[in-house]
Amino acid sequence: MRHRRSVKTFVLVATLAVASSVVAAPAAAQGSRGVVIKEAGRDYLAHPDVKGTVQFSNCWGGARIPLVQQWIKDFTAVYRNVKVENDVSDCPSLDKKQVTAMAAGSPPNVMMVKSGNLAFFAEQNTLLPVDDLMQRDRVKADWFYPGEFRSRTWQGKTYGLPNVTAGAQHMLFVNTNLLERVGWPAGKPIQTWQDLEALVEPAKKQGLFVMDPVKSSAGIPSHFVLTYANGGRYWTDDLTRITWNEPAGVEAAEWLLKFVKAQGGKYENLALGSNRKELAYPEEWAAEKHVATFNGSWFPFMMKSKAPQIRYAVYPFPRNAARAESKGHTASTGAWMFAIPKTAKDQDAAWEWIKFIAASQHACSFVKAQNRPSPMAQCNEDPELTKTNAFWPVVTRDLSTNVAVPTAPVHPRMVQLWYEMEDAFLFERMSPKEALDTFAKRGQALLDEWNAKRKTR
Amino acid sequence: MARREMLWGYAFIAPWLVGLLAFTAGPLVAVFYWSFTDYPMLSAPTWVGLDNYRRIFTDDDKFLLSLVNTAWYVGVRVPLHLGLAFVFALLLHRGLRGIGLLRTAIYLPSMLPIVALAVVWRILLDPRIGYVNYFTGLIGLPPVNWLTSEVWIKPVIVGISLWHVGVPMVVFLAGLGSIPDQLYEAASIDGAGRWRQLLHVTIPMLTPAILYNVIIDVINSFQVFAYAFVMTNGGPNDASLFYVLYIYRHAFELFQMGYASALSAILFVIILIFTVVLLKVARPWVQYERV
Repeated sequence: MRHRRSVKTFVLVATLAVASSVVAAPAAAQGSRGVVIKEAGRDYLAHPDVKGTVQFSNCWGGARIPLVQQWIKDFTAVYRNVKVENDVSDCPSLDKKQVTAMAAGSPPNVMMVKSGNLAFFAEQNTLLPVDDLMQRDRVKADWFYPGEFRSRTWQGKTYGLPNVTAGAQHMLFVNTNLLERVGWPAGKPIQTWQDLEALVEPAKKQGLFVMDPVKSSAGIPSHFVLTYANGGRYWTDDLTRITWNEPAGVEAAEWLLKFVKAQGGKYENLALGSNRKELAYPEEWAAEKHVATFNGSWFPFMMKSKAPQIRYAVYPFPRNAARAESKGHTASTGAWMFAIPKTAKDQDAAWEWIKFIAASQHACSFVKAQNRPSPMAQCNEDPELTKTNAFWPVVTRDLSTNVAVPTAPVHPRMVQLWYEMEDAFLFERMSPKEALDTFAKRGQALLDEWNAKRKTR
Repeated sequence: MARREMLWGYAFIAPWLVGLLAFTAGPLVAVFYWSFTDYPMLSAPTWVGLDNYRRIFTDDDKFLLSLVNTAWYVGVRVPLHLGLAFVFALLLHRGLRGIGLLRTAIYLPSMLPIVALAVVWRILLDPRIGYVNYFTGLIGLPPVNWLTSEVWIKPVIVGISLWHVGVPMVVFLAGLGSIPDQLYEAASIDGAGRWRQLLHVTIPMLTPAILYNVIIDVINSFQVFAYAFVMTNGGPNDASLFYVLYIYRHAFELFQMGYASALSAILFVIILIFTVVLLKVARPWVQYERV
């Protein structure tokens, strides 16, 4: 009897020992429930055993669809129990679709969000902070440019990973054929606002416009970009005081109006496309009525597929030669990031997808294919980029000088105000100074209202 | 027996009733409730009483602007739209061979989605590559910036909207078909020519259809949205900022659902007032056929 009990005990203990050694061995190799991925000095954990469906809400449409499909193919080869649904919308309506889905209680579990809108989402407690997940899986903030990573945080918490940079969104593209036609000296770069003004009369003689300066950014008005390029700011970094009506901003508004009137008398005569909240499309610029246009680092990729016949040069955003403080530095309220709504399903699968597309080498290949700079410094060090893109130095220059503008949760309302302000002086309902002062009061009221709420929490 | 019949009646209309409650009455009540709240969509609504309405009537200059733009559109579009529909109906109310095909051809544009129409017209009206300026150029007219001109944008949108002339035309055609021939025979015997028959027989007998079309067209015209949304986003300089586009902007661009709901409630009241006034004003001149 005693013997039988001891054999039973031994078998039980032995079984337990073997079982635990089988479990312990891979666990020792994998760390805490994950597989170690080693990529060019970046070691992190992946969890290929997660299950679920990723609903990827994004606006990587058009020429980017095959790139996303490659992502999905590569991801699902590793994560065999995860299905990825690619939900593509157009960029201007993406946030509306996402907010509606969140309000309805069925949000996609990976959302491509403009970091300028992060405060709006985060303050309403709708996004999942990912700091714990980053720590668990050893994803480090210092893999990304500090400014890029910081713009994806709100009040000390990280709400997603950056994908493309906020920099290189405002560069000057110049049609070299048309430039030659108007008699601009070959090889001479266009560097200042005054250079653009000098092109007006020669362009008119050829039946051309220099450019539509109102279309210099998607989602924020041109005056915003011009003010920062002129050495000004729209508000203080602590988001307490409006400054767009200070001399740099007034000068930018006056120049914008003067340049528009010099070219065509009024804006409607030179508008490139009917919706001024959108940047110029390749097809619009390829009509070759405008010598130049502002656009971002994604534009060459689009031009290659939509208007490959156009020869162009790329220059940094021009500065105002009449103001010493003007350096042509561009500003941005952010760029794309990938976030997880708090109420979404399959959050584990969602996080694995985000790591894959934003922190792994696959993030590098995506931006490289578009000739866009990556928020991960390592991706931008690829020497191939300089070989295939003649304008890459312009991109990296813009990255190094770009000003990241902090935003408040009232950002959507603030943007609306900016467009109304620009309308007011562009269509000469008010003088530039009057418009900036009038709307500065309204902007200040919005900021004060939000700051007051902040203090009472 | 009567009670049983009543129950069967309710049973048959139940699907429609459920749809009405779920998709019309329910949202209507919700909108009225939200109009008294601050509702940023991702957080719960907070009661603010009449604050939204106060802001609309005292602080919001775009409210009046969008209302004026919409009123202009309604005032110009409805007479043109119905006038054109009436003319087409008169022309197509004949027993000619192939008339069915013609009627179909004129009705077909009404089947086109408004968004598709707007996208196509955006290209046609482009000042540089669009066909409209190309053809006007052939007859010696200078190019016009149709979509970026504050002067032209509203007439352009009215013009495009006339493509949907088929729907009221069909109503007029049905009305024309129900006018007894004896009335025309009697008028003819009394020496009335075509024009007088039109004025004194056709139009009076068509007044119920006219009233119906006017009410429906006014209601629809007040809700103009897609053309401006697709082609101009309310520009240039808010010249095409229509009321419903303004509501949309507050709801889905500024995420102020409470404020947007208040704007919607005001539109509901305006349309209701118009409809009631039209019905009252119509009593003296609408002639319903007595059998």
